Amino acid sequence: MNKPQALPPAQFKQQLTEAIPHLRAFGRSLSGDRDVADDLVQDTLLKAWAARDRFIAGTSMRAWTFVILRNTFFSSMRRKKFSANYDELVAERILSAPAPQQEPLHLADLQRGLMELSDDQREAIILVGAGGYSYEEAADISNCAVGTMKSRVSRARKALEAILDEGRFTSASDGHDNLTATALENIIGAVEKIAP
Amino acid sequence: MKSKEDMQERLGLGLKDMYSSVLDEPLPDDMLALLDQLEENDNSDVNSSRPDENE
Repeated sequence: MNKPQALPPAQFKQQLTEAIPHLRAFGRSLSGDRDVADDLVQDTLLKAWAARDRFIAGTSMRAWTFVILRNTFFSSMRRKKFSANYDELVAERILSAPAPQQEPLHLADLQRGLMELSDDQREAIILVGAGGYSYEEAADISNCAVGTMKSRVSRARKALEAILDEGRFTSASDGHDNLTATALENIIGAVEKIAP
Repeated sequence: MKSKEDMQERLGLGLKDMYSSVLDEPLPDDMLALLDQLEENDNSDVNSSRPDENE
């Protein structure tokens, strides 16, 4: 049986670079904050590079780095009770030009709605509903069974629809600055641990 | 009155929009610089561990 081959450094770098836009999109949807997401991506790039011997050529770089990013994000949340938040700077952006009879969907509402979901549900609907991953790919990234992923997506959709339809938001912006600062501290701490 | 189908459609499009709008942004210079730096560190490690050919 052939031993799995690692990628040459130049190819690894190229594939990692191509994954960056997706990592940023995933991180921003997950955290709801542009700066926190970009710090998460930087952290992910460092960790991926340090572990590049474990990446198997021919497998999905995007999925591999998504696992690193989501593990970093959730372990950060567990350690310091970081709560994901939403970015008020983009509050006025309107998503998906609506039909004339429909009210527009604002990015801020969607982000706030996502933050109302449980972590598992938020991750599931971002991967499948926003990122276009199959249930199988999303289950691999989230390290859960395919059935569990389907169930999470279904519950997330229903909950999000109800939240957006009824405008049921909690005061997600309370303590926004403190939470963001805490998240950044977490990420910087994690980077310092792995940096030489 | 908003129907369930309308909401589902708006939600689906909104999620895809939210995600794809980030894909269209230019790559941040600091991330590209970080990868260049990591690659450079690797190369210098390899060079420093290689025996001197003149020896």
